[in-house]
Amino acid sequence: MLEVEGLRTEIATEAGPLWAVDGVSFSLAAGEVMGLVGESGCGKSMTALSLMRLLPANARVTGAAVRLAGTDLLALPEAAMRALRGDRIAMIFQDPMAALNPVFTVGEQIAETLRHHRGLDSRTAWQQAERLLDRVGIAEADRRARSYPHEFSGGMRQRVMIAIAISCGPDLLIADEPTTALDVTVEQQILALLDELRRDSGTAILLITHNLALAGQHCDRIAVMYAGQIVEQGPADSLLAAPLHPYSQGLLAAMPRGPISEGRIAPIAGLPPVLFGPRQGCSFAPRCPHRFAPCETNPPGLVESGPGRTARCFLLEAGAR
Amino acid sequence: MSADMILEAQDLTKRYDAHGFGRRSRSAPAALDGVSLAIRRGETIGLVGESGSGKSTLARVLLHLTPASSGRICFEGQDLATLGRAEMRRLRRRMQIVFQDPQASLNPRLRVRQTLGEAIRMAGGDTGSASSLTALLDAVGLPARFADSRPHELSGGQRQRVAIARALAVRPSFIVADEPVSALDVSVQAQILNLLADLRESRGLTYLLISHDLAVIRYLAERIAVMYRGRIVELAPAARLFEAARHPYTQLLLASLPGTVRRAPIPAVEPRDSASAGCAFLARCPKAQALCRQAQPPLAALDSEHAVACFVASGA
Amino acid sequence: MAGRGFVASFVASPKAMAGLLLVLAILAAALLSSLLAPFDPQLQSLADRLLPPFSQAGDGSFHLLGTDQLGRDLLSRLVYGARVSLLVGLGASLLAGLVGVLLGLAAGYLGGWVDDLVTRLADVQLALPYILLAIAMLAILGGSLVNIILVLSLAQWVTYTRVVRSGVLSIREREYVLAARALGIAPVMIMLRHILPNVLAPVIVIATFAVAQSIVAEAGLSFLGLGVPPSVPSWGGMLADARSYLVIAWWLAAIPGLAITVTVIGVNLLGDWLRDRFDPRLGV
Repeated sequence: MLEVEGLRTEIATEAGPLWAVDGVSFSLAAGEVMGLVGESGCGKSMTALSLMRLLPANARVTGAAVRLAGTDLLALPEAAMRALRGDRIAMIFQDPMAALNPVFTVGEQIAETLRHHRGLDSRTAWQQAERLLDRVGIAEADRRARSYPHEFSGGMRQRVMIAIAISCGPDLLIADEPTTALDVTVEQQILALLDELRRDSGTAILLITHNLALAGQHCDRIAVMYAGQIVEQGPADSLLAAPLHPYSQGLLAAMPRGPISEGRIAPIAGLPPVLFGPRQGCSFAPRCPHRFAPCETNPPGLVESGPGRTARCFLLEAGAR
Repeated sequence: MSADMILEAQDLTKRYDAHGFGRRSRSAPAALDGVSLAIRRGETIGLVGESGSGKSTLARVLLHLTPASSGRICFEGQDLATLGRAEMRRLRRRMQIVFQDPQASLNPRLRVRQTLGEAIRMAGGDTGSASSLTALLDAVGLPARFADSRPHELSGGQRQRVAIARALAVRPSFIVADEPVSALDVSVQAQILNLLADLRESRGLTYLLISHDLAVIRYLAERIAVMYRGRIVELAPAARLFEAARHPYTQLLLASLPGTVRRAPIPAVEPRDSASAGCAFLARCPKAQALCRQAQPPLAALDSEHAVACFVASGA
Repeated sequence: MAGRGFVASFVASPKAMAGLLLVLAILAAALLSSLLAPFDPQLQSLADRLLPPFSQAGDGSFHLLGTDQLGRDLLSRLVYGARVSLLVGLGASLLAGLVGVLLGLAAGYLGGWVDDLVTRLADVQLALPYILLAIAMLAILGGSLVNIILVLSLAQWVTYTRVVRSGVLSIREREYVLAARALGIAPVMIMLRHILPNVLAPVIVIATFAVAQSIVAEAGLSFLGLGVPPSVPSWGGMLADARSYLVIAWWLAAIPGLAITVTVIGVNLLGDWLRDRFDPRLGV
């Protein structure tokens, strides 16, 4: 469904071009949920915006191809891309209050998308909007459709945003930290909703989050990002059970799981690098407890290590250490 | 108040009225609705709850940064309401707070040395002495060169360390940490949590650790209080809470932890008007019974250590 | 705030340098009037009325910018006029700013009856049309420089108060203010050290605009006969007088007009740079 090959995004700054996304490749099948996991500044949101081609003016996407059901998104003219957005490929964001227009009712905002992409008339669009609100679990949908965003709680607003996103039955739904601003109990509900929707409609979901454990609970596959690159990829269960890349291992070791008396969590020393220009060796090397000679000189390539699992680390290459 | 209690709060309520003319806004739910809590010297008590639970309000009320609408707070044996303004200001040094957003908790115009200098001055220390400044920075793991930085030049974790250093400068006995790591990346969270643990050891601090993240609470807290809609609904030692929580809301929270069995999600509900009688958790509770509709369950002790505010759980 | 960074960033900004240059030029004119002015600005010579710029008078004296309707040298009047304009512009702005900021701080931070009182005062002030107020006050007190500054300040303080008050309201609940209170720092210190510097940015911008407004307002008052006595040179007065001579002696209006424009631009450039400098995140 979605094939990303060698995606590169550069941001022009006063100090030179920033390589926010540096050679990201992955694929997503229909109905599959993939988690893109990383900490702040790793490039995961940039990747999402690059896929949607919703970048700020000073950013440029280069790199091989992004194919959605065969069509290369990078090669499309802007008008064609606009037609796709909201229709074949949709996105939901972290802060639903910021993404919803406070002066329009929620029903109106859903209907707007339908009128625009599907050419429905107002009446039909409104009815469809009510149905969608019901589908995403909002009780009394016909009455609530006439409410304004500020009359909903955070979790409900997120459901509204999901309703808008799925209104045209997209092939791909990108969810950028959709539950970070929500309570944990609501978070579970929203993610369960997304799960249900993709099982019904076959939409592929790209779930972006900083929470590795959350990705493990709700994703089929996980890609861990660091400094603009994917450093490890694989099925969620096996990746969490036995992460290959030292960064993924570090992330897991840094998460509290029990009382401190049962063992201290181990932080990852140092700070993430700022990415100007090509790398000298592995980006993670300065913080890696297992670094050795080749790590400082050459950037490691992706190495396959087990079914469906790849990682970007010299340690995995035959004869390493 | 017994000698080993550092803080005792009784029946705290906090309502936010409509501004001006003292009119009561009846439909606004109380942020705190009859909260009582006793904290022992040297313990770390965790306060867990979601948005609207009142945990941040409780933090501010306990420190008298916001006055309670009613109720009593005794800190180190002194009733806060009886203190004059100057006395209160002096007492404040004994209890400090660390906030969630490291960016908002530092004055953006002041350099680190100025922010910390102000705190050192309040403690009666000599700000001219570089050693007290360096000692503070050292205690929180920041190299001395950061003294001249401004907040926007620091990372989130570094800013949080400065905030902790500021709290330590006045040598408090009690620190309230209000979501101290929620705004930080995972790897940095670990650093700050370990720092808090070390400081607890080296300075004999008492902590009130507030978080929506049970895993964080579990890491550091010895006793845990669960809040929902302005009330404490369960209070138990940490191990007991995780093994045998009795309140349905606590059980729901535990089910949201990664690695636990996934249950069928409870349907979404809108916030309730607190003026209606009955348990606040009624609309989301899978075990609700007739009694639950009629009255608010009080926080009742199940045994010497474990208390629950639920008619069903306490076997009513 | 002052210190190494201040001067360095100033020199690095062409905007600030340009602004400073212009303002310095005007300041120089104001302070060194007696040195720069070739003639006595009050010296009339009816024989040499309305001479265009670069003319020679009957007695051989050279008038760089010409003469006005009473034969007074325009350049000299311009140079001396800088005093009045700057005094009025800066004076009114500063006075209004001082009063307005203090009232706004108090109203915002202390709340309660202080806030109510200040807000009511501001509402009353705004309800009165400034012209009527000016006329009434100047008629009673008489038209002098000090009175004009007072009247203009009265018209302007409300803007500062409102902006500062709303800034204080939003900052008052920020965590760093709470942290300062938690340390036991006295309210006055908190207002001055933590709140004031963080609400000043919009105040700078308002002040720079206010300088310009004041200069132009002074012109209006002069036109109505409420300003400084007509013999005292002021750019506004010169502009007002020039109205009758626009067609035959365009330079009488153009030159003071240009002076006002240049001053306003200079002050705005400086204000822009100052405002950027005050925001610690915008590349100090």
